[in-house]
Amino acid sequence: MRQNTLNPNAMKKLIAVLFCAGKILSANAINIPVEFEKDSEKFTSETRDNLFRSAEELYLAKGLKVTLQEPSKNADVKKQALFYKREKELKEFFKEEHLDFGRISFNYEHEGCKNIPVMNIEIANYEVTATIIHPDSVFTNTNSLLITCQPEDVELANTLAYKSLNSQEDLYNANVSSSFENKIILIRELIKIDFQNGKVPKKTVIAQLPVSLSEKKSYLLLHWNNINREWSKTGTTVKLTSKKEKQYFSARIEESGLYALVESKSVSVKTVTAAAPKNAAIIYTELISSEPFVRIEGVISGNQKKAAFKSPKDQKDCVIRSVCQDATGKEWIEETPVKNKNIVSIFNNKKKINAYFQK
Amino acid sequence: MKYITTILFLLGSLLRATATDTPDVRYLKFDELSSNFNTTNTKGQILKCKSAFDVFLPEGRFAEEGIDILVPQSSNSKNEKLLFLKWNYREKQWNIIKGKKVNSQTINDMKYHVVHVNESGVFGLFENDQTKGKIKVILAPSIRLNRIEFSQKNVQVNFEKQLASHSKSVEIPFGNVSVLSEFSMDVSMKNESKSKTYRFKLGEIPDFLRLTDNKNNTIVFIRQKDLTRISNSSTPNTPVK
Repeated sequence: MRQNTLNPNAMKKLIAVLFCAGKILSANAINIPVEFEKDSEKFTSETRDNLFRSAEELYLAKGLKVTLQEPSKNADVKKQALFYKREKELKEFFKEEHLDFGRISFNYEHEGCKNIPVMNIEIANYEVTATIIHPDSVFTNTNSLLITCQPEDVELANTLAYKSLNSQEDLYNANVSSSFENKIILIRELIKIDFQNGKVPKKTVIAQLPVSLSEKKSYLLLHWNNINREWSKTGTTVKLTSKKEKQYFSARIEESGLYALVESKSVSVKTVTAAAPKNAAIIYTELISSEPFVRIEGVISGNQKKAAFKSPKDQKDCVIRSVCQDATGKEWIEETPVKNKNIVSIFNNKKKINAYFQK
Repeated sequence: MKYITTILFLLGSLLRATATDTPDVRYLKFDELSSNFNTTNTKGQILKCKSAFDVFLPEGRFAEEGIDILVPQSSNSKNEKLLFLKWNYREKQWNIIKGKKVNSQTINDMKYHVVHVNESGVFGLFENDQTKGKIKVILAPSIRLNRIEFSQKNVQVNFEKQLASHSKSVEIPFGNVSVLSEFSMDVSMKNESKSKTYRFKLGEIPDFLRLTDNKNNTIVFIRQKDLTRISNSSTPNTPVK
């Protein structure tokens, strides 16, 4: 039996023909720019002529794709009102011409995002179904945050709340760590984000958040995972932007919780070792410091007599805070400063210990 | 009528069978692990238990195909070499399961150890204790030791030894000892056949009777008055018959 197969050359030719045909077909799509008289919702005479001339094409078209460049929610009220009047006028025209709305798609875009007319009708040579496509909604929410989000998240993002945790007490009580991917991070800004009633947006919400930082370095935005008790990266590197003498950054937010701005450069570390008080075992320990805030959980030895930390090299005023327990079951908190190794400790043959508890 | 009743009975039986036809995995807490099992290998060396679990696989698909068990990895588990062992009830020891490996898997950014199990039993993930040193327990001449049990919760270890010849000392192959480690000892006084159990934490023994030498051996001296003090301070234990 003979098989109906095409040889490679014939195949190439067929693809080329189909490609050209596609090009011709797409080139045949007619675009009618819709222009209006100044400060009016009336079509210009040129637009009116174009529309009447293309009336047959409009009527017979497989579909119409209408593009509208919508002013932002923060734009001038008059400008917005004029846009909606013009939009209404265009729809009225479609009604008067008895065009089938089931074959018209309305695509709303940000104003000025493309070099195209404010409104445009494309007589499509392909099937169009009635859809209304909105761009990301941009607005200032009730907490004065500039928000960019999908239309379905507007209501939730409108109440998005933000709090910068600046005090040492806030930072400590936040119970976050200064470790990320086995490296030490310096938290420059700790932020608490809240969507109302613990809801989560359907898509990422972008919020312009003010920061107290002045240095225009590159930062990473991390999100604190309360279950795994670790930081996870959100999006890419964050850069600060100035607006009215204030610094802002764009945060890509997917859920409520704690977020931290950290420097993306690595921090030099040194090992710090602490020894437990006599007759006590260390059951939890952390190294803490202020300016910048550091909190690092220590690794306790199997015999619970020592704890090791990776501490930032240039960090001064580090304190080790430990929960100790004795054989009677009594628990207490011990605090001791981290000291540099000195001649006495070397003399005592305990070179590695930086911190002792007094008891 | 009988026919319908039979069909209904068979359907009921089938439903009941499918209801219990699910595997059951129960992670063992340290208290349960230390009271029912030890954590030593066949050579008597102490192993640190990362996780132990009791698995029930009903006959059928699950027993044929087996199931994967996930154990969360600790943050400092980078160089961990884990052993996957099964408890042998007859020999009362953990045995190696041939051809079974411990794999790693990340789910929702959480890292897990993964083991495949295709039979019922008690299984555990263990790590060899790398620290050198031993615990040497030396009793006063008037005391005889019949049994000793040692356990340390933070590293999940448990060791038990029966002493046939009423010894005066014993060695426990573990160097990472904490003041919170627990001992349970069956002792009898010289010339007495009656044995009594004492439970205490290492830190309850005065520190001058606990010495650590430069080989990391911990030597613990136990006097009769220490046992008396421990006995008075804690709930009286039932004497072993």
